[in-house]
Amino acid sequence: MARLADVERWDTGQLEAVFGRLGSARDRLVDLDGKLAGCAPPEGWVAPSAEAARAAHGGVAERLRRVVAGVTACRPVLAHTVDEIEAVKRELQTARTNAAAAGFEIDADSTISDPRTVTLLPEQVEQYRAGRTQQMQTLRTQLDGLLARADAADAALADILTRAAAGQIDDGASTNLASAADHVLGGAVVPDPPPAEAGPNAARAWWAGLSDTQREAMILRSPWMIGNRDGIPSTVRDEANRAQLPDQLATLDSDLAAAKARLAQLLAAHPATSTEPPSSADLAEVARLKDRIGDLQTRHEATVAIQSTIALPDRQLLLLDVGAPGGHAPHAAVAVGNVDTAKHVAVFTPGLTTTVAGDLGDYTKDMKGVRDVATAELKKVGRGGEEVATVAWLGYDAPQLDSTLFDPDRSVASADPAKAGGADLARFYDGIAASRPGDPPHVTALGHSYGSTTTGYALQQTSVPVDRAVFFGSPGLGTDSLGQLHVAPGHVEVLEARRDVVADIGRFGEDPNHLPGVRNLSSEATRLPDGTVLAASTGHSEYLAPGTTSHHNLGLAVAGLEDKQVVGPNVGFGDYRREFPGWQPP
Amino acid sequence: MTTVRGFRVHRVHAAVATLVTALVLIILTTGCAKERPLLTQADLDARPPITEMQDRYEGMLQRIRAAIDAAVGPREWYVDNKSASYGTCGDRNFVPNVIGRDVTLPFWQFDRPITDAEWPAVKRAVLDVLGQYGFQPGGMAVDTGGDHELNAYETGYGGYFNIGNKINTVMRVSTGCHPGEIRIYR
Amino acid sequence: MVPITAIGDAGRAAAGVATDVAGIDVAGPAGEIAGALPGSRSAQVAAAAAQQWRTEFTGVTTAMQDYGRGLGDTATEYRNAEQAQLQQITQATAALPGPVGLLGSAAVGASSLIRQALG
Repeated sequence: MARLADVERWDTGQLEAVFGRLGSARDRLVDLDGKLAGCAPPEGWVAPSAEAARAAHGGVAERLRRVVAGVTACRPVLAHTVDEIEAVKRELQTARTNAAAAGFEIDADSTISDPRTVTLLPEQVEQYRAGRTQQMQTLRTQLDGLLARADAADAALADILTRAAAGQIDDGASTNLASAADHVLGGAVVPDPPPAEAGPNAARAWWAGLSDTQREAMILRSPWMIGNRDGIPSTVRDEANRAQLPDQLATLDSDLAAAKARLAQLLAAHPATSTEPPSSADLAEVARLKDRIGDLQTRHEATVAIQSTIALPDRQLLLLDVGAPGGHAPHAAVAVGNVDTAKHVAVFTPGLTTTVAGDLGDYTKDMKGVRDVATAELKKVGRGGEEVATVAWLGYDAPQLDSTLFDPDRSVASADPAKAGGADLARFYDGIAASRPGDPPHVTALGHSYGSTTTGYALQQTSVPVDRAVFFGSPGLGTDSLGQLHVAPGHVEVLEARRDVVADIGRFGEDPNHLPGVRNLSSEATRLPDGTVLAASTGHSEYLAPGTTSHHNLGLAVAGLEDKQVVGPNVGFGDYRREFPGWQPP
Repeated sequence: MTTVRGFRVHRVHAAVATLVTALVLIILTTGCAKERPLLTQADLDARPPITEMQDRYEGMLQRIRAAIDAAVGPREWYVDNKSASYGTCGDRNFVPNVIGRDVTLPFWQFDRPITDAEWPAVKRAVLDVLGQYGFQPGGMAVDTGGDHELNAYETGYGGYFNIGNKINTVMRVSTGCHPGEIRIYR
Repeated sequence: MVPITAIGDAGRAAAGVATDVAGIDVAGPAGEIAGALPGSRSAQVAAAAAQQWRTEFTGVTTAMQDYGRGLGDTATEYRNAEQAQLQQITQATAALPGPVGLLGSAAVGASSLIRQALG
């Protein structure tokens, strides 16, 4: 049996990281199914050496299936171990607190002693001792029960590890790696998730009701049903979305190849030297194909951008929706940090001209920078244990500077894209709260340019208020009354840089700077009495440059340290670039 | 219905005209977005690999710690590996499809402030080391009410450094964009 | 019909799979369980389990590489044998007198081309 002191040191965070890495290793192995089949000895080959080759290939394939089965079997047990240990540690903490209050001591081996000295009359002694003994006995029973529970979880994990690594987990009669994994889950039947309209709390309740094996089956078989579902824990959404990326890329590749081949076919049928003009049907098809190819290429670029943005250890892919030709633009959301465990979570919504292919990497980079500031500032005030996660949310069709300028459904001059996007963004915010019912984070909404209008509409629809909102370069919040926004009172902040003409347009409501109740944060340049110059942000896109006042204030807002912000009217003039022209963030 | 739709389109046209005028004004007054030409894959490949920069800046931070200790007395420095962060880069300063890596190294701190009296000496010590690594001070600088902040930038590759205090003193450095695979701090 | 090109392709594909498998790490995370649960039974078995997985991955990678190399060698053998056969027939038909010899060489050449195209 493990010692009490050991159990109290068991690190479930590290186990969760192991869980995640085993999952991605298993997914990468299963992705090899196609290539594994593709390197089998060709069918038309008949010879003694062919039989030997088939046996060799079959042998390797079987070994890989066993590995996949073994890793898959470990995962639900690991998840269960994490849950059990967390529960045991919580109750051990309570037991310790109660014991200390009663004056008992518990040592590293869970031996209970009663060092308390009291002065009693002779006739009270026996009753007192009996009472204390009774209390210690109860505590003893409680501790033994908790240690036994920890032991049981430990034993189950040790057992599955041993058997899995020894190749003893059966893959059944499976003929490929995917079904080997599936076999281990014993044909687990999973109840359908509730419809999206039922909301994040319903999604959370559904997930909480599944066993670890059912959850594993869900991730393995139907990741598209949970990757974008608000209310599901972020680490699960990340795993489910990552699992879908290779297939999505492969599908886009093959769709592109097919469309290009068909186009080539059509063009070859009507060379320039031909005397026969192409039919109008053919012309129409050529035009359609060119549109389709352009559309597919954009989605392909977006998928590649997503892949490279999440190829780092501290990223979570919380939204993956590359879409289909003719449909909405690609959507994605990437977190830096862990949204499940961070004390402070910020969600950033960008604006005009944003695309996943062009901007996901940039904005995720900006969010990394904001997270760095928030983390550093928390440490500076002695709250370094509080983690931060920041999310770049590109989950709506941001208006573009193209022919859609005249389409009221898509134009930056119209509020419609913000309203539509706002509904999805609202559910995303609600999903964060719903996925962590016992441990809600401090949430900051960040909106830039047209994204602040989208955020404004979102914050009118959230079920749970966010803790603060910062709008920068905002052309309006979609409302003239702060009371409409579900933000803690007094916590709406605006950054407006000088020469930020878009922010002054005030299209979608009153210019936020002038709304009553708004705090104006400074992003100006200030010359201090000692001659030091504070850098300022100029123009629409400089808010997120590290080392500037606005960047500093953003990080402080995200960290919930508003009393440390540099506050002032948004007037004045400064030029960050002129002061330091040679530097650009990487 | 037709009239309403026509009205909406009319309003959108007028609004777009205003917006386009505004955007033209912005572009005319703020000038070009970038002051130097975009870099290429060859430019990225010519840079030191990211792990080398991690090594180099770990050494720089060590020297800064020693310099501060020498300037104002030994501090109780400690590091938090979990504060490190990792990035992909290339979108801003490179031609499309060039992908590199940047790293914010784990933060070092000591759990007491730098006093107003100590700040000038600390700044000198820090800037002296930073200068040897190509960093120059810039951006927001704070020296009020016991709080201090110093930012510095390295223009060669895009490195960024910050040291500051409120109750505690924290320093961090981020690399610019470099080729190769990162070394993760566990 | 011996599909020589397909055998060669499969051999190369196998080398690719071997590289892919070698790049996947199960032993690493498994071993970290020991650090996460000090004093536990899982910690006791984690290192051994990690080592077993490490060995298995090496074994699978090696086996796949050997298999791939084997296919490549076989393809080469078959190609060499076919070349030798063709040479023999070419020499034999060239030795035949007149148009029969020419026709025979042409037929051998054509059939070799066809077999290449099919295999």
